[in-house]
Amino acid sequence: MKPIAMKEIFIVEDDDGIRELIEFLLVSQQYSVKTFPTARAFNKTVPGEIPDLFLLDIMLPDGNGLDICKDLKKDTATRSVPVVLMSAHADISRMEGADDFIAKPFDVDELLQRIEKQLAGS
Amino acid sequence: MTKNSNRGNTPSGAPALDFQQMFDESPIAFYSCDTHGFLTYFNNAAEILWGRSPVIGEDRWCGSFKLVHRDGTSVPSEETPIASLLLKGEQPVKREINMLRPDGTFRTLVSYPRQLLDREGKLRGATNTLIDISEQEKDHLKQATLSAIIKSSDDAIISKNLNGEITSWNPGAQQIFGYTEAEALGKSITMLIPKDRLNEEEEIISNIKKGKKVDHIETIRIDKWGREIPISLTVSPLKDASGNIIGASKVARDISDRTRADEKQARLSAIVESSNDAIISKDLDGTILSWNKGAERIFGYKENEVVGKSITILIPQERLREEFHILEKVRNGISLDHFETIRQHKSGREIPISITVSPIKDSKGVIIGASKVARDISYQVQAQTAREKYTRNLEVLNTVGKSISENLDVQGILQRVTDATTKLTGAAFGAFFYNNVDREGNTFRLFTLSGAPREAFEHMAMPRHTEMFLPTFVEKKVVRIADVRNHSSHGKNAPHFGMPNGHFTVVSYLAVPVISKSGEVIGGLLYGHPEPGIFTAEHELLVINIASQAAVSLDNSRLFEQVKSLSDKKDEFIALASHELKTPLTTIKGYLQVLAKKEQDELSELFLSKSLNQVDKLNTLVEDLLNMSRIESGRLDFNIEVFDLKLMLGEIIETFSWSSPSHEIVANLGQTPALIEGDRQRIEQAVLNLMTNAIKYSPRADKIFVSLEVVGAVVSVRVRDEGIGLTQSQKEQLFTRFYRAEDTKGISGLGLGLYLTKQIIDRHNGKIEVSSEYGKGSEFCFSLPLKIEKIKKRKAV
Repeated sequence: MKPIAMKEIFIVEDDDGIRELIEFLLVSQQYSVKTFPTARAFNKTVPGEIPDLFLLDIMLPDGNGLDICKDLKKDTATRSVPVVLMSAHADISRMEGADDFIAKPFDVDELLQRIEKQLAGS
Repeated sequence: MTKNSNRGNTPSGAPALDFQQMFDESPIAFYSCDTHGFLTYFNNAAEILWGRSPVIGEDRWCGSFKLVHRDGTSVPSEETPIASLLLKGEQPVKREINMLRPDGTFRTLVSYPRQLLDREGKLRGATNTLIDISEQEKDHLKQATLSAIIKSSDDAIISKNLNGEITSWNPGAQQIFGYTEAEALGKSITMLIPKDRLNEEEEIISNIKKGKKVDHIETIRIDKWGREIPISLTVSPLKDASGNIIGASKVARDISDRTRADEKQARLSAIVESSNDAIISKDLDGTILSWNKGAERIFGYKENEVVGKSITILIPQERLREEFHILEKVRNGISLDHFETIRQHKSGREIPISITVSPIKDSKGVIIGASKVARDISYQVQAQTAREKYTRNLEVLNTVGKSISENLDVQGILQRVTDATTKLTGAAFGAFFYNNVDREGNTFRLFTLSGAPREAFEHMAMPRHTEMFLPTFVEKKVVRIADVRNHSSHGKNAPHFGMPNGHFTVVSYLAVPVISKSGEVIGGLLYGHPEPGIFTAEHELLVINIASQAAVSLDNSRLFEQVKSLSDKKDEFIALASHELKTPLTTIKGYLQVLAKKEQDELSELFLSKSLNQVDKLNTLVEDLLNMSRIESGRLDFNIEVFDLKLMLGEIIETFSWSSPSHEIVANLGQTPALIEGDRQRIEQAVLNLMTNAIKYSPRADKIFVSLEVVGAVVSVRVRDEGIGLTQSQKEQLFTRFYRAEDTKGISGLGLGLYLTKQIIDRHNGKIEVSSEYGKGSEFCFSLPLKIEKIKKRKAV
């Protein structure tokens, strides 16, 4: 049972360590978090379920965060939901409409600040 | 004939018997006549002299048969000596007179006519004494002639006695030997003889003494000035009237000219004989007069086969006019130089020759014929043709070679090779087939085609493993067939038994394997033409050449593909590796930060801070590696924006003051902003690298210096340290990948920092330089073009 005020964040990240770290950090900040280790798992989510923010890793074993972002931004239901991309490749030539990008390894505080900023703006 | 019967009266007053006898027997011809000139007496000598017996009292004036002048005309009787004396009353005078005798011989006489007076002084008649001087006259003439000959002779005519003393010397001798007559007379003949030939003279003398003549010996004599003169010598004994040998006459002819001419002649004929050129002489009608060995060799005719024949036997029918022009020129004294034409061998074979024709003149300069030197230039012509051909082929090869070596794409190479060779060979079509032979040998794969639409082939089966194709693809053999219809396997192969319907008619066939360096047959170039005998050995060679070039290019292309794929794999690997390395780094950093936020004791706090620091360093290293691989693969992307470099430097310096408290950063950035266009993150990385290095390589110093300066349209950033410095050789290699100075073992790094920095600056159209003194420190300076603001530009305009 999540409180109404609780913002929900969907995380797609294949690396267990990073996924757990981010989940820990966000949960510590009172966010509601759902994690998906693969693109496939993410695509299986109930269509009506829309979070307040998507945090997507770009390189996935069965897909690409950029493609997911592209789809989300195409879909009228999710178009306005902020998307933050993450990658170990510091430079990203295309963002596919994502709202922000965080290079790995990231600074914990900076990650939280950027997510907060996106949520505040939406 | 009796004296008495001929004798008339004794001259009156003459003593009777005594005188009569005296006159009768005198060897001198004598006669007398009366006042009318009728003969009264003549003696025996007169009778003999006249060669007839005159009749006393009948013959008048003279008893001779006929008196003649020197020119042979008769002397009239009134003009005979006696008539002149008695009729004209002339004074008696001694006269020379010529007489013709009845036997036809002449005699020259001196006549001494005298009046005959009696005691009272009365004229009673005349007497005449006749002296025959014919012999003296003859001798005199002979002498005079000889003397004239000797005087006018060009030969030296010398006489000498048996002691060798010169007794006569003609002008010819003077001409040849230089001595005047006065100088030579009385001298020894040995003065003309070279010392080494003195024995020659002894031999001559000994021959002369034996009465032998020495005829035309060729020897050497010396003249007044010691010059040697080749002479031809004839020496004859001189005899006195009684036949005793009293000396020798010597005729010497200067043969220097002849010797020279002979030598020249000999030399010339040797040259003519030994010449490789044909040397032929002909008269003005074109009749061959001489023919040397060279001519024999070039034209095939023997000397005796052609001398006397017309030169036209050497001239091809269609070139006969040429000879007409040549002869015309020769007649006008014009030479013809190195005229290149065609002549005909005995066998009818045509020979390209170069001829030189010159007029031949006799000693008076009259043109009497022509000499012709002909050189067989078949070889030159062949060489020239070959050279031209090779040049042409080389050009083609070069063009093909260039285009195929410029091309690393297999399809492109093969298409060009097929096109070029099809054109070169004049084939109706050409194709390259890959050597994809399966176990049953059923197919070669058509890859490229030239001269025919591909569709024409596509519905057909590929050439099969028949006897004709097999050698090229399996045995690496070049196959050239002038007419495949005569080939043993033609028409025997199922299912078509010959060319399949709709297939191009192939009669001429050429197939060349394309063999890789490893010896494997990559494929075959096949050419066809509907007419027989199209492909020559030369075509074959050309295609072999191009095929080998193509093989090299194909090998290279393959190699390039392999290397490229390896390199791509390496880049892929580095990208993947760095990504994979960053993933755990992200987690480690995150948890360390979470820990650091919790309340800790001092020691834990210090350790956590150190750990985080190391994680950042590790991250930088991984990042450098990733960037390097991006640069190598040309995939380093830039996010270009306009920013103030001065502002960025300020921020970096501030961060450094916190993170690197070991060194004070002395900054001099000036007052004006420095706007540049570039990738902010990359430029920052470049500056960070330089500053990190400055600190890293000056462990004993406590300051580094950073300055920024704008000059014109360029901004320069200098980062200086007071560290260990660089040697010249270190400076030279500094910006190369993975380079690390030898004495930096204690200092960590991959050797990528400066390499990446230089790459970043270079790609921003900037420049980076280093100046350093070993042991004292280094200064790195990079400069970048300033962003000229468009607004300012507009204002300026």
